[in-house]
Amino acid sequence: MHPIKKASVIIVRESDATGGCICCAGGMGEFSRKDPSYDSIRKVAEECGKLHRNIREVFGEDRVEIIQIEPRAYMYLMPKILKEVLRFKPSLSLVIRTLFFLYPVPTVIVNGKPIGMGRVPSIEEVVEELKSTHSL
Amino acid sequence: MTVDAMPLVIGALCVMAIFYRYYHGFIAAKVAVLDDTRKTPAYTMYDGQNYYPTNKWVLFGHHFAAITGAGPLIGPVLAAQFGVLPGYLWILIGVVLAGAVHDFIIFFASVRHGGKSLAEIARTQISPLSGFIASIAILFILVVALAGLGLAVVNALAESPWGVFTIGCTIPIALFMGLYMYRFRKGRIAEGTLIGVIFLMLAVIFGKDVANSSIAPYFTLPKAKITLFILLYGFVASILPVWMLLCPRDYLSAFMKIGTIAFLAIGIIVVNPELKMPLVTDYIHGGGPIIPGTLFPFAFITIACGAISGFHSLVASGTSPKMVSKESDIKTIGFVAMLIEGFIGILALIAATALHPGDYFAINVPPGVFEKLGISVVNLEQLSAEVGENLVGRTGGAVSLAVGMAQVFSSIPGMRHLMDYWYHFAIMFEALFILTTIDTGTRVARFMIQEFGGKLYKPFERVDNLPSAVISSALVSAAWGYFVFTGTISTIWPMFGTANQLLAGIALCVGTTFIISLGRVKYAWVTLVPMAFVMATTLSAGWMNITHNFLPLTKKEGFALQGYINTLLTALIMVCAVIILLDSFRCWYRMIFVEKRGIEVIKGEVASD
Repeated sequence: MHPIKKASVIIVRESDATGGCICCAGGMGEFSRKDPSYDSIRKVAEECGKLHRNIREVFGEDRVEIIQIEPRAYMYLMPKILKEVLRFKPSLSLVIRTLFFLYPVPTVIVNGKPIGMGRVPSIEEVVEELKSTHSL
Repeated sequence: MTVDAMPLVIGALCVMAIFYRYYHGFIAAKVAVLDDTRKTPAYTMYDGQNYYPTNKWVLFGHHFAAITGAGPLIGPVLAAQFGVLPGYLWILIGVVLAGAVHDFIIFFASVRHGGKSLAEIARTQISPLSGFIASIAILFILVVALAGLGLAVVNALAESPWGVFTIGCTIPIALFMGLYMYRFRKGRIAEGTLIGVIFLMLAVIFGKDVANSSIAPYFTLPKAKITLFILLYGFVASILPVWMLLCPRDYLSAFMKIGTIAFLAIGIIVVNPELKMPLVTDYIHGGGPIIPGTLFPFAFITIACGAISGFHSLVASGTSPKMVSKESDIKTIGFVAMLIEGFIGILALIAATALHPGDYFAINVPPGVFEKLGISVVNLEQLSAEVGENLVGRTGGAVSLAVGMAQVFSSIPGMRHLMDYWYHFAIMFEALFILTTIDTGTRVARFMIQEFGGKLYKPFERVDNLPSAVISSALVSAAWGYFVFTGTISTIWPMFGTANQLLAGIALCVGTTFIISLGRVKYAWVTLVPMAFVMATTLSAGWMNITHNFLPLTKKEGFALQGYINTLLTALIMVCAVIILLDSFRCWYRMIFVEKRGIEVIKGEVASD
């Protein structure tokens, strides 16, 4: 018998500790927690954190694979999402949208389908989507 | 005798693969004893926001993007004055034996300390004094680093209307991207980045028309004016909200970084350029026109980031350890990310040494000094004509790297006539990195000053306090700006290298203490040997800098203040390192001979346990 494949949740959100090419600057690190201009990014990160915890609480670690990722990690995101859409086969318009990043951040991609685009969806929305596409 | 690039590239890849498989495997298995049954901070401190388990490759990309900057590109170019071999060997040996080990062990130590920072680990492992000194050292080192990189940009842009226009455009482009992504079409990161990249390419393309138009004089600026502009940029950018400049620049840089480096690697493999620089030059004995001093210790501090970089310890003890999902992932992330950084350093060295020595020195040395070298230029006039810039005396490393990169790119079939575009693209690529570093670095240093200031006057530490932010940003900008205004690459880069390497030495000290505290004193040599080498080279380089360069400067008319300040700063950084070293010796003695740490008692592992 084949093991049941995990459902997938990809949370795409910005990092609240960003500071890119930082080889010779050390990076924002803990200081980003103090900087008030990170407030809006941090607020989204907090909401995503809450969602992350809620999904784990509902489904545990073994049934759903949760990935939290920055939008700039496109080298990883592109093949990952391609794999998801091939596996879960959402509608063509959604495939185009997710594959070409035609969505606002934050977004949550549940089994290849973006939900709550530009906002962090509620746990109920995520659970509903997971149940409908993955029979969880 | 000259060599082709290909054997060096393949040789480097083979050495890195062998060391990763065996030596780094040994460190992971025997020294660190990575244990996947032990929960990482991503689980023990899980909050889903800062601490959460992350896929190995996602974290690898995040970690690699954070450690890669302009340092590994510029250092090897400047060290090419010693010939191809010294730089090549130091990058290769340094990265496998020191740099990768340094990044790994600090990453590992941070994971075992609940994702704590280097200064906090120093405080826990060695003493509160060492933790405090490490923070002070980081602040000084940051100032010198910003000066070194700032000077490279200034020299690349001076009297270059095309360059100034293109780089100048990156600021409104980033501002527009910021408004687009965070105000007009909130959250549309991909759209905003795509628009930004297109505008950036247009800025490179139309820069040529601007340089040939009647408005060119407005963009033809002397060094002093460019320094002032960059200074103002650093000051303003460090106060502005991050979404206006810092975040959008990050997205631009991320795209440019991966694309350009991959293209350079492919270009070098396809073109396989002949390296015209001799394997070893006479400057190994000293008297070099770019970096004054002998091969030892100066080659080792000139190539900083490509072989070993202290700044990586800040990244390795920053966000990465909070997100690693199991300890065995640290091996891939910690070691391989640094090995790739070393490989980038080798690519930069190849690009620079593919130039004829005469052309290389004519670019990297002031004209008056070049005349005295007795070397003739070979292709410089043709290169200048092809790139549309006067390349003579464009010191700092950025220009010769850009010429080298443009030469490689334009040697790809069908690209020959695009040399001028490639050159300005390469300059834009380097400046994009450096301006982001200046933005982040000034901001971080500002926070540190506010933190220190807060100990004297409490309200000063509030980061949302505008007067405090303005004063501390002005202090930081003035500090690194002073060095750019008064210094040359020959004085600043060795200071930067010394500072960066000393930070690495401090981190290796902390790493050694951690290994001993784990009860594995017999394996402490894996960090102790690179630490001894790095400390010996950098402390001797610092001493030689003071005695041979800076103190004589104090006797030169008009340079006395500069000489004293350089002496003081170098001495301060050296004293910081020596204090931490002595404090570590005391700590090691206590652990080995008093506490008899042969047993696997782990100090300071509260978080993971």
